[in-house]
Amino acid sequence: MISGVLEPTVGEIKLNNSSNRLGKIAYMQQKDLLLPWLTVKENVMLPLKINKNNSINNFNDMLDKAKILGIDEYLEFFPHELSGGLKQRVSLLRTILQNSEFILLDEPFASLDAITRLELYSWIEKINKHINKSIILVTHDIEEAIFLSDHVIIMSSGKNNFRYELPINLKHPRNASITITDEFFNLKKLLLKNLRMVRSID
Amino acid sequence: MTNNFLKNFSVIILPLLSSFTLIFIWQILSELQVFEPWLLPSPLAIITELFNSKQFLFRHMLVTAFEIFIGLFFAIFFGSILGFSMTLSKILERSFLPYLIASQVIPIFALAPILIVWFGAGLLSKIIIVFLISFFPICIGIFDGLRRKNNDMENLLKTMGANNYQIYSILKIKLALPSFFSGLKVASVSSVIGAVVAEWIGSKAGLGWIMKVSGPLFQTERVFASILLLSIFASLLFLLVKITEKKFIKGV
Repeated sequence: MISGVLEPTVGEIKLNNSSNRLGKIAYMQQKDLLLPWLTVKENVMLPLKINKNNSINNFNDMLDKAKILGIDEYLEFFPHELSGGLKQRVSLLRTILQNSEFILLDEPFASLDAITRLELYSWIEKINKHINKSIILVTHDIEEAIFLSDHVIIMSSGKNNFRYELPINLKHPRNASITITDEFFNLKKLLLKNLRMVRSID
Repeated sequence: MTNNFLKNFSVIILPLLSSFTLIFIWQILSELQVFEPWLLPSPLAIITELFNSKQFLFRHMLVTAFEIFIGLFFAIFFGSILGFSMTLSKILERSFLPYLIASQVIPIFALAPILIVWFGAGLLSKIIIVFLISFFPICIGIFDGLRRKNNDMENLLKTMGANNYQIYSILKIKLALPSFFSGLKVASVSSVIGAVVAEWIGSKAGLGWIMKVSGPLFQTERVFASILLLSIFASLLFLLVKITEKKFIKGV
């Protein structure tokens, strides 16, 4: 609904005072959704091609970001030749290149194994410095939420479902060792407690 | 490496080996005069006939090939248009699809004589018959292919700001290609049958015509030579479709 594929039955979702959101929020899903008949390069350039933005400047911009994400060697590959983590990185790059103000990540790491997931977190930390956009991350993983976010909101199902808000004041860039600090543990405890409360109310 | 070699060996060498063995046995039996030559000519006699009348046979093969190519071309053109339109409009689908399916019950053997009466014994009636026989698989191939959905991808393209035209050109047509090519493969084989049947029923040229007139004259080796040529042509046509398919469908 946030992305604009669906419209709410009650109320309105507005972005900059307009309910027309399609094409303005880059949306990345759990599945990589790369087109199998296009190369990695063609796949990541797709949003630019659709919006007729594929100038040479944008192409070089793509190359820079591909380097940061470590996929510059794979640009001529087809998706089926890549591993799951690599595909998700390609998908992430495509999402970023859409050049929208907002990025919506819908459980993008749920289908990956724990190690690949940790790797992807650090890729995200790396690229985050260079893009400076608002990212909404939907997740069921508490550690993931703490690791990647500056602000966590716990939601429940149904109406009026914003239950709890927690700012995360950990310093960027974060790396894997942060997950075993006391600060991190305290945040996790706090979130777990509130999650349980929300569940018991529901 | 060895594995690859073994695979190639089994794919290419084994079928060749089996057919050569069969032909060899056939030749031996013919030498021993087990069959009457006018009933079943020896492989060597067929090959000899193929070389002796190569110009004659080749000229008529061109006629048959011409009918097939033109008929197929129009079938692809109009089949794609109808298949495409039926996915766009439920009204068109409802009004055409049942008749399209029902039309396949009519055997081409029954239809061919009428078409030859209407359009003459020349090329036109053959082209129309090839068109009719290959139209259905192509049209259905496109139609079914375009209905193949990938909602996630479609939604993703929408969030990128793609319009309907872009969704078709980037996604839907590509998704339809495998189904289109399966249809085209079926059409390419049955179009050869259509052309020969049509020539058989009423024509003045083509490999089907040769088979028809040579049989009663007991020129059995000429009939067999035509069959050989025809099957080579049909295989090449099928191969052409397969190669085109490979060119269009990448990365899968």
